[in-house]
Amino acid sequence: MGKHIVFEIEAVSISREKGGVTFRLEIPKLTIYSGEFIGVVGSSGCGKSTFLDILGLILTITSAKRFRLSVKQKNTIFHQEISFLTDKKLADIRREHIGYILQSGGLLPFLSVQENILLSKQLNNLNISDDSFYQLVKSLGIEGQIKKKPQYLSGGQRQRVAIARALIHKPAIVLADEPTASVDKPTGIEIRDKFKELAKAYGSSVLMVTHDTEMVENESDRLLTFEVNKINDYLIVSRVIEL
Amino acid sequence: MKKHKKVHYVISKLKKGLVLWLAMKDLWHEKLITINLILGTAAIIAPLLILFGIKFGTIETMTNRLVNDPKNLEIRPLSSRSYTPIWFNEISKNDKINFVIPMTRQLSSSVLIKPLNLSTNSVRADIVATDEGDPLLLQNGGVIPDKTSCVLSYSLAKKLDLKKNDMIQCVVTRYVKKKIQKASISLKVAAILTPRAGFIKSIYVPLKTVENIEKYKDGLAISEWNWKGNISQAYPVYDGVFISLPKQLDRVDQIKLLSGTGFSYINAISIEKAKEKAGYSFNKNQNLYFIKPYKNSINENHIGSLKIKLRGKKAKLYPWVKPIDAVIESDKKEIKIKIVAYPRVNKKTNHITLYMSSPYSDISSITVKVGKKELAIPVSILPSKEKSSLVFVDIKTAGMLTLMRERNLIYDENINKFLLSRRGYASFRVYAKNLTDVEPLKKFFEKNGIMVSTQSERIHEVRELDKYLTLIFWLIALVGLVGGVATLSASLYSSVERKRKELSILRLLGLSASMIFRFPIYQGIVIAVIGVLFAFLFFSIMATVINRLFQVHLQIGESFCTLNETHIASVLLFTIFISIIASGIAAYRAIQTDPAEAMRDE
Repeated sequence: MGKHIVFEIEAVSISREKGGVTFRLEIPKLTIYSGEFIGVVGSSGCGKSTFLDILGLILTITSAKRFRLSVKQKNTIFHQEISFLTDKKLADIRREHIGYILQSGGLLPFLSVQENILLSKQLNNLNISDDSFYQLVKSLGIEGQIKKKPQYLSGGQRQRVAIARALIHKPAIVLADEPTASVDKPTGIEIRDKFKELAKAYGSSVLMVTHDTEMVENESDRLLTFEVNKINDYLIVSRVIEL
Repeated sequence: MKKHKKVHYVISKLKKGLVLWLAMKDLWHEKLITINLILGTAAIIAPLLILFGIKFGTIETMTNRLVNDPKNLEIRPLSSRSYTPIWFNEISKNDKINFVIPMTRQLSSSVLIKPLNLSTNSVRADIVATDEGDPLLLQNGGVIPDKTSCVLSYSLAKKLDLKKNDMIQCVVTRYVKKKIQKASISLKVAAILTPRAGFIKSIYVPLKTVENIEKYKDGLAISEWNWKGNISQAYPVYDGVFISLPKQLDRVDQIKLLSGTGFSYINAISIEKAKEKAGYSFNKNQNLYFIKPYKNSINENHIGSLKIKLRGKKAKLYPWVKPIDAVIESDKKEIKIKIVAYPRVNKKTNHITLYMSSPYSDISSITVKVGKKELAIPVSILPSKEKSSLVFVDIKTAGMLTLMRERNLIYDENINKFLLSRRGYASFRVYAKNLTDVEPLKKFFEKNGIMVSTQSERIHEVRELDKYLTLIFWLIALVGLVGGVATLSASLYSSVERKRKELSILRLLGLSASMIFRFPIYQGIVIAVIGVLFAFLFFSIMATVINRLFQVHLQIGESFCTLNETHIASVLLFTIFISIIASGIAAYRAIQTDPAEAMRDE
């Protein structure tokens, strides 16, 4: 299966003002290919989360030369310029083509593990066989938890459920925001490995944000970080660069 | 280089009902909070329902009692006078009147009631006329009696220990020529009224029965019951008299004839003019005068006085009446005729004989029409010797028919006599259609000089009470409603606030703003509906308790605390409306939430 471009970003920037100080995040040029596992590292306040919000289509960008998402459907690659889409359209793209893993899972407390995972299926009205569902939960080691509510799961189990939910509908890209931050190191490594393995199997690119460089530096196809410049007391500019 | 297609993605459709399912899942997950919200809603609505239930029930019960009790719709005259059948006919056309029936004089309405068994008990009771549609009987467990039956008031039946279908004897007494006379009829008890109809011992019978009893008390005979007595025979009246005499009357003689005779005008009249007026010819060798009263008709007494004044003058008197309209039916055709008095009747017969120039052989009766009155009488017809289009009848019969202008007559074929029927009735019973009609009817009667008594004051009091109670209830309800709306809004709003995190995750996962907006609204509606159902359950229990407590004061079908379907539907809709508004405000805030918030985990 040949690789294709998923995200194509050129001269995208976003400015946010807080307490009289403007923080500007700039992405000069970034191309993400299908199946890639990209690590994003950086210290606190460098703009990791803002970067993830931009790719997650939940922040309105200030300016962009190119901001394009390409997805493969029935052997055809569709391209969508997403800089200025409506809220409804952005929501449609999010649910169909982007998977999210949040720091502590981001699971819905009122749904069981099974319902949380299959929510992506329901949202997209997909046909997912019981077999493929069980295979996925089994490979994540959570097959015994599927009837439970998230509140009865350990941190690691929650992250595994979040991975299953993010992948089950085979999105173009999965954005993971510190998915191993709430678990111990060995569990974190286990989760990362499983995540990477399954993302590859599901054909989804991964952008994993972490403050723990060790967690991704040897496992990523590429590593991104931020070059922070304090221009003056009122303006901080952070630029996404490849390591 | 790959060729890029400029086509939008194929976006799959969202599963129907997904938002509702998620909203319900969330409510179920937070059962305790949901129950709190539901009970909170019920706690706000239930007291309001009870408040309105009591207001609605109590007032409705009182109004129903007022409306359903014919006594409150009754209008009774305070004094007796003569009300003619025409008056009753006119009054019954009033669209505010539901039922009207004449009443006889108080004195003649007293009868003695005896059970038709061996019991020697007897009780004096009021006999009251009734007819089809009498609300007093029909709404108090009665039926309308026929001429062989009667309906008794509760107190009368109780006193004589009478039941439905028992037979009673109705004894009527009168005092004639210093002797007490008695007559009686047997009647079957068709129904016994409930106590609500009145405390007086009364017997209800058709009007005809009451009329007969009054007639008997007046000394008259009632042939249909074989009750002996006088006959109220009709008497002739005339409009003028032709005087035919050999000598002329000078002016003094003429004026003498007007003095004390009841006549007012006298004039000499030519033979030709007299013929034209009377229809028949007079003796050419005689002097002819026409004498008439001022306005009213004259009777045999007046003519008698005239005869005395003309004694020794060899005068002949020919009473005259204005032509009387009548209709005969021959060969299925109605023919209008005019009848006048005729002195030259061949022989005296018991039958009425009409004389006409071209007689119809197939006629055995005529219908006399005087004003609005009609009277059919049997006749035989003979040819007339007079060349006139008028129809002639003997003078006395013509006088009788003229009396119809003033009195109601009946013709008794058994005795071939004209009898006087009653002039009018002493009183009446009137029932208004609605409570609101009572006051205008009272004014209507008073305007016509009839002082009446009604239950207006009681009706007015209930109306006033209703008005003030309604005002007080609305003020209390307003406070309750404002508090209720505020509490419901606050509960739902805070509930949505707590869910901001979940809502932003849903946004992140691809639910649109409009779907997120629906999430709390569905929850609000469900909480409102279940809350209202709980409130109704609580209300039903309380209403049952209240109605049981006051059971003694209630009649069948009445309640002190009740709500109808419209009230229930209104409360439900209003609560749903409030919950939509309250959760809508919260939902609006929820969709303003940046989905990025979900990414910022704690």
